[in-house]
Amino acid sequence: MNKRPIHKINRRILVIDDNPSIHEDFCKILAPAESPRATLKLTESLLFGVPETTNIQASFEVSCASQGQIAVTMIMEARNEGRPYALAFVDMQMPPGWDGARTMQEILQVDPEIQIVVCTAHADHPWPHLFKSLGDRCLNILAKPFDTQDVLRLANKLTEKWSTIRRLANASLNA
Amino acid sequence: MTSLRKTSIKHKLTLLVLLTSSVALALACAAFMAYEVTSFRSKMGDNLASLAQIIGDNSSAALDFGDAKAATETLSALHADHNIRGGCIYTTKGEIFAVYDRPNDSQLFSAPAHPGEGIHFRRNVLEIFQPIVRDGEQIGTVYVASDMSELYTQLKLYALISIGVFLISALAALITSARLQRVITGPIFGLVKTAREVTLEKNYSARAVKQSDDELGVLIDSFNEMLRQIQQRDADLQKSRAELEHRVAERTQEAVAALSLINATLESTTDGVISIDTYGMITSYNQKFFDVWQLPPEAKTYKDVNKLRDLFLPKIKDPVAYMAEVKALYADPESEGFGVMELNDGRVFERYSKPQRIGNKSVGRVWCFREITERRRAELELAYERDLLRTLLDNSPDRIYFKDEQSRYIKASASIAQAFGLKTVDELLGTTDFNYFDGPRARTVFDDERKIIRTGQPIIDQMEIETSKDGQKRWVLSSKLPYRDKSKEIIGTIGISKDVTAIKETEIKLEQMHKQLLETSRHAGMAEVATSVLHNVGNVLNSLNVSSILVTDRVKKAKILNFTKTVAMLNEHATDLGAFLTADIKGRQIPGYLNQLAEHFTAEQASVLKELGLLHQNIEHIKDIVAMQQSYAKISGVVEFVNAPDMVEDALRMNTGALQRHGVELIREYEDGPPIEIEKHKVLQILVNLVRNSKYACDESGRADKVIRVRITQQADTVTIAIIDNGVGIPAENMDRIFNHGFTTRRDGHGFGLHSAVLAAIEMGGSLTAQSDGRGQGATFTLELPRAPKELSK
Repeated sequence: MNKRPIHKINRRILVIDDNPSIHEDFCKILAPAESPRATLKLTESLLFGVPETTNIQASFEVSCASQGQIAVTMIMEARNEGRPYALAFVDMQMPPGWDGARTMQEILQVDPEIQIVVCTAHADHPWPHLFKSLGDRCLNILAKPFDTQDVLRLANKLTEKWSTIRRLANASLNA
Repeated sequence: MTSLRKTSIKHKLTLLVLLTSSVALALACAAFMAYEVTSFRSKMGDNLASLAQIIGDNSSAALDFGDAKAATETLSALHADHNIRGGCIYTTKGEIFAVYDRPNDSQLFSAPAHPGEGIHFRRNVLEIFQPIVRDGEQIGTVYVASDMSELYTQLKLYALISIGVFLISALAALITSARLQRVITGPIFGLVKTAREVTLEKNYSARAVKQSDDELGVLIDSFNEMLRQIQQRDADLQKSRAELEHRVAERTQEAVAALSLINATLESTTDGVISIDTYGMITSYNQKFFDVWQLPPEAKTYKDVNKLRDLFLPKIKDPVAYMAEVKALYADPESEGFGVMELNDGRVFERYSKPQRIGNKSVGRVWCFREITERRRAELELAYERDLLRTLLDNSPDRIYFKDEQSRYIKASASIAQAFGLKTVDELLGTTDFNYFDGPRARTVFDDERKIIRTGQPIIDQMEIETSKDGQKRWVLSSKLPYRDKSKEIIGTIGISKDVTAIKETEIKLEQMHKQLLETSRHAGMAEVATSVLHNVGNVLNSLNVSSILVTDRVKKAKILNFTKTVAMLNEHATDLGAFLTADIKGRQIPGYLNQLAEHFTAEQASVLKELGLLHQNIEHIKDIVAMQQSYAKISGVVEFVNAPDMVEDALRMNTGALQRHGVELIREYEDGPPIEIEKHKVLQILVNLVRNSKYACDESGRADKVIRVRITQQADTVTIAIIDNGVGIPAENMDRIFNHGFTTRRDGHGFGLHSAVLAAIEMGGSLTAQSDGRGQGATFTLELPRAPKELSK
């Protein structure tokens, strides 16, 4: 199903949330630590034949930031090192620093390419305010408490999107 | 005659006397001499006649006898008189009969040829013809001629005497007159001397001395009087001349001053001024003239205005029009001219021209050129601003007006006229609001404006209800300001009113709805609790969710199926299990696989257990939160014995995460004491609330050293727990309201935390008080609890 080679996709993700438990949640979903040992897999393939590729889950490289300001610095450094983040999950409320909207504005100042997902636990947030600050960018929203599949789907889709845009941009640049 | 004129009076008088006496003397001498001559001549005639008679008588006989000798003898008797020069006797026939001639006479006597008649005086000769009569008959004529020398001798003598008398009398007259003339000349000389003194020395104080009462006396008096008058006049003259000179000096000074003033004025004026006479010659100018026209210095030497004009005419934008105006002005010497002209360099001049008059006569023309570029620009700007104001007033939907001190409209936007149902703004001017509003409303507006004029305090954004005369009510947002003139004196008011009826009505509706909403939500309470639960549980729930899904995934992906498959394989080969495990390619793998699987299961179990442990923790957390919410819901708790510090620690624990995240330092000041009998959950609820408030207060203050001090003090019947922060503090005006239901200063606050807390404290027989020194000064909340429940209070 996935025709494109995996290594071509930038899988760097930044999670911005003031709550460390949320950081852990994202890590668990996007970068599962444990995986069956290779010998076990080999033995199983001898015993039961070759398993289906669909079950292979791509892992992401997840970094975390507890405040908007820190996140912006990290994004800026990553770009300078030539290893930009493809996606950022931004929490709406991160006391005592910038809120999500402000953080997004600042992020887009230093990295206009990055894809952003807004995370929120509150339905009473002033949305128009948020939309205004983002201009015509498409807003992806992840409601808390979130579903692991939603997180994975968003992460896959948006990192691919980032890479596609980058490739198209490079192509047009080279052409 | 000239010599006579120059002669002095003294000599004249002498001469006069001499002449007079001489003439008199001469006349007397002449008369005397004339008489002597006359009488001498007649005596001579008589003597001659008698002589002739005698001769005639004596010679008559001779005649009769014609004896000429006798006759001559007779005639020679004449010799006796030596004066007789000669004689002769004529016959009747007129022939000379006899002749006598004086002997020894130098002069030859010649008798006249014919006899005459009578006596004749001829030159130096007296002759007589005497007829000789006898018996009445003339028988001849005797002629005798006498010499006159005796007479002349006589006469000479007389003349000598006369001259002698004349000379003597003249001398006498001279001497007499010399003495007498002094009477006349003395005063005259005095007069002359005085006159000369006056003339030469200009001494009008000199006076002639009067010596007599005659005409000279009168003359001297008159002269002196005249002198006195002259002196007086002279004094007057001197005086008036001095005055005159003084006045002239004054006038001169004034004239000089006036001239200098004119010159100074001319040079100090900002106008360029030049005056030109009727012949086109420049008579005067000031420096500024050359400055404004930017003429070269040599132009000052020009006398002819045409030459000057050649220099400045090219600088004028429209020289033809300018010259036409100039010509028109010169055509009428009495006309005055004013005009504005533009120069090629963009400057603008105002030009005045006035005739220069001396008396009623026009002698030339004065031209003034004033640069008005700046003024013109300012005027244009002003006009532009006026236009802007006009446009604003004509088009603004808001009502803009200017009123004078009596609140009469002096300028207003078209919208006002329209609102008042007037056709034009002009109808509005001079009227007041009393014409358009109902009495009370107009009075309010008027009073507001009076206050602004009195105090200078503006009214900004005042919401007002207007009632027009037809009873229509409108909401208006008004700002009114004092209207000041240039000297900052308040001369009226300026106002802008916006009709906000539509907005206001919406706002009122909104407000009503909001109130309703607020009431509903407050009454319901549950919604708030739900929000609170969501807020607190949200994040925990997220982790819970992730953990459960992960555990599920893990279990789903577990190797149970493969294990089952392996067991099935073993069952398949149950009969030849030994051979299968040792000989079969697959069978040989199974023991190793089972080992690996066992390892895998062990690891997976640990992982799942860890995840389940987290799950459990989170569920406990949620349980705590729910329990707290239950206490909010006024579920009466059980009264139990607790240690106050333990209870406070529990409350702090519930906030630990937040306090650490926000960098708030906690300082504990606990005083130990016996346990108290209290509803622990109620107290916890209050304390959690207080700690959270303090944390917010510290956060909001923005300071780096955020400190919350928790102090427990023990009293005989009570325990006091104080939560002291150094946060934003509570302003005095909020002090009374902080415990009110629904009061909050936080955006996401619901405003019943403190309210519930104070209610709970009272319910337990305690109290909750707040203290703050004001904004930025921190706050202290003090909870006082009884050591045992008060039965009476329940």
